[in-house]
Amino acid sequence: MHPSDEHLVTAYLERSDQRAFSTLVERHQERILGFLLGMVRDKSTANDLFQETFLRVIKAMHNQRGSYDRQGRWLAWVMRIARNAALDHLRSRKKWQDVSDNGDEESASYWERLPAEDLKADEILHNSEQRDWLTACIDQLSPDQREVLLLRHEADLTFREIAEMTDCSINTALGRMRYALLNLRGMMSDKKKLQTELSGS
Amino acid sequence: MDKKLQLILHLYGESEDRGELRDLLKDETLNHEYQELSESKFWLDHSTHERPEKDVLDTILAAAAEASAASGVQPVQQDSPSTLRSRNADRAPAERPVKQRRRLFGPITAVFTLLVTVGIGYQFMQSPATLNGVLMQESLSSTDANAPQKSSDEGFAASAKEEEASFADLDAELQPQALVADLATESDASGARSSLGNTAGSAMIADTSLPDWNDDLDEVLRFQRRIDMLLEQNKDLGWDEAAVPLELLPSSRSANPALLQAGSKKSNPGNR
Repeated sequence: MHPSDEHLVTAYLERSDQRAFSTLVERHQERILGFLLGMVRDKSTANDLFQETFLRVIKAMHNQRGSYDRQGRWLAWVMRIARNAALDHLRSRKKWQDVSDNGDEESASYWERLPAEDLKADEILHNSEQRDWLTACIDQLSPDQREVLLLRHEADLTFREIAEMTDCSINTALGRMRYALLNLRGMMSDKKKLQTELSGS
Repeated sequence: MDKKLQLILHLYGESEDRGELRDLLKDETLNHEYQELSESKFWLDHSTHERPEKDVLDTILAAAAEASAASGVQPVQQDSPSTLRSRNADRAPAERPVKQRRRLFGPITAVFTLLVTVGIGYQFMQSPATLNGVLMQESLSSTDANAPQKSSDEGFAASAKEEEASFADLDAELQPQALVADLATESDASGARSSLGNTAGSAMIADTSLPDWNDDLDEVLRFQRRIDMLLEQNKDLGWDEAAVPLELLPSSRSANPALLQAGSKKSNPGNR
């Protein structure tokens, strides 16, 4: 039986049990790094942000910076810190300014507002590995869609937690997720169509 | 909630109402969309995950340990960050006592060697006096008036045995004070010792560095035994009689033929 996150947090804070904290990191490292990697699209930067995230987490757990209220959702709390670290990084690089937030995402996804420009065939062919191709497709999603998708798939947060974290309604979070999945599906269909054309010719 | 959004909740298992999902999927449009969403989810679920770099994890765990130390809470363990992630590394601290023993082995061996050397040296320094002391004690024991008379050889053999026993005690204790105390105890326990023996024994215990005295005492004791034996053999003689010259003794006075008057010896030509 695995101890809960809260049990490990208590062991670390009250008894300085370093193994408990190590277990927490081990348990959630892939989720947190996967989210950060999807957000910044660079492995080295994602590792830096992963470290920055946990340094903030440690300070906050010891009440040196922020606070942890122990409401039984340690991962969601850590993911919020990771998201803030990623947004700080993106803002510093002024990549976040490419997309304006006009509040119309529920009716029209960012994908639908992108210029009508399909992925080029040579770009798709270049991503021979399925994973690289999937990562490339996720990178083509709008920041809001990508964020929700990463928080749900990588961080394993519920849509309610995602809505709270991103400060939106649960319907908005669900809508962004729906469009993200449908857009990915569209990109996969385009790939299949391209492969069929290449094999036919 | 929009039915298309409800499909998302069902797709990710966040809605427990399975009947609602069946109703939704009866709609052909919703069913088709659910299939497309499921296909995308399948690819995402089967995508591989990246793990953080080792240096990053070490930095994080070191920071966590440092923060715990700064908080003042007594840690239940003090493993380094590297040992926290590896079972092999967990065995490393167990080798620490072995290394400690190895580090202590040199000084302990040196101290032990020094003690043995000092002990052997002390034993060699104390051996002659101790041997003399043992012989002296045996000689004192032989002066017991109630004990049966022993010949000189028997006493020497007994002294040799006592000497061996005394050496065994000396090896065990290696303390001159203990040996003196033992000798004193033996002296006290022996109730029939002569005053000379006690006096000599006390002197010997007080100063065991007089080997020549031991030899002289042996001769004195031998003379004393000789005197005692002569007293026993001649106890019938009257030592309180007045001294009478042989010339005045009647010829028939003594039955001993060797006791002749000097005049009779000179006047007797048959003796020539």
